[in-house]
Amino acid sequence: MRFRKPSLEDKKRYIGFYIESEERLGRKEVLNELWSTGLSFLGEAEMAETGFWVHDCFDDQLIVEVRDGYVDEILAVVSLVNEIKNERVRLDLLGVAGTIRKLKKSFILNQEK
Amino acid sequence: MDHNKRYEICFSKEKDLGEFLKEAKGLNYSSFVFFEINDVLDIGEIETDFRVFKGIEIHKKDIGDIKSDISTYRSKVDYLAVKARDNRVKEVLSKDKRVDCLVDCFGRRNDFDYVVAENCKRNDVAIEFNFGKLLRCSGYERSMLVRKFHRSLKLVRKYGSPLILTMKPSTVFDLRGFREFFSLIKSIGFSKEDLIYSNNYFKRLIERNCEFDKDEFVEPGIEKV
Repeated sequence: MRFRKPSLEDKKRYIGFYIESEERLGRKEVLNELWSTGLSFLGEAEMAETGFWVHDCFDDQLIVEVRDGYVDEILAVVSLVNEIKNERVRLDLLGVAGTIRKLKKSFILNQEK
Repeated sequence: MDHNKRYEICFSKEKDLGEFLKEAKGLNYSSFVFFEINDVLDIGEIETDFRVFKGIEIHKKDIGDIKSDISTYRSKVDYLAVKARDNRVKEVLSKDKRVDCLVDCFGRRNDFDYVVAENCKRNDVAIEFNFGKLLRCSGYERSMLVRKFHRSLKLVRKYGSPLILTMKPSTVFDLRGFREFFSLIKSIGFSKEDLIYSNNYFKRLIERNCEFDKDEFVEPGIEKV
């Protein structure tokens, strides 16, 4: 089996979010809402292009993986999310980084919330 | 005003404004205008790092009522906006220099036209683009709203009318950080220049209105010494 060279792989960006809500939300609910908002706002083709993938969702934090150059599109989608399962919610941007390690080190572990 | 910090015009649904401002701390805001519909809000004293102003939004259909409300409230608030859905109302209000902003200009049938855009530029009346509406609708409605934004932006850019970009939050969950807000407006067709222009315009507008409230003020450029 032949692997693709690392230089040919798409560059990725990891975006960290803080989930601000009155009640704790499940991973599945957050994921469903993000996908449905993304599909309705950007459409199937552009959503595929962005390479959107929820990498991790723990406690009140969310790490999303996107293809480099599509960060703004995903931020626009995320800013449109304001309700999940009749629960008011806001996703605050923590930071954007090229690796998960850097994202966690710079933004997630240092945040004072 | 820092370019990465912006103002926000909030509908004061939240009872505790202090809590609201505390929540907004990490989101790169510089100033807030709290408004009430057809009434002046009593903000009281709030301990905060933000600049807080009071405003009013007039929601009336009859042009005479609107004009009398403008005369009554102009000196009592720092920011005065009027809901202008009707074409006739829009045209008249765009000529009134006492009005700071026209709200809800993009109705279902009536559109924002070049006459209003030109008048707004001449009389320094801003056009409000409320992105908070995008949160409250989806599908067909959202698509139509974005279309209206596109068409109106084209006119605003052509005639150089002042614009105010806002999320108009009523609760803390409607607030958005600078980066998220910029991404949202960018995806709709607005540029960073529009956002900076809007920020600077708003700062100028509020400073001008605060200056008018001073006792020494007589006319623009003239004051008692």
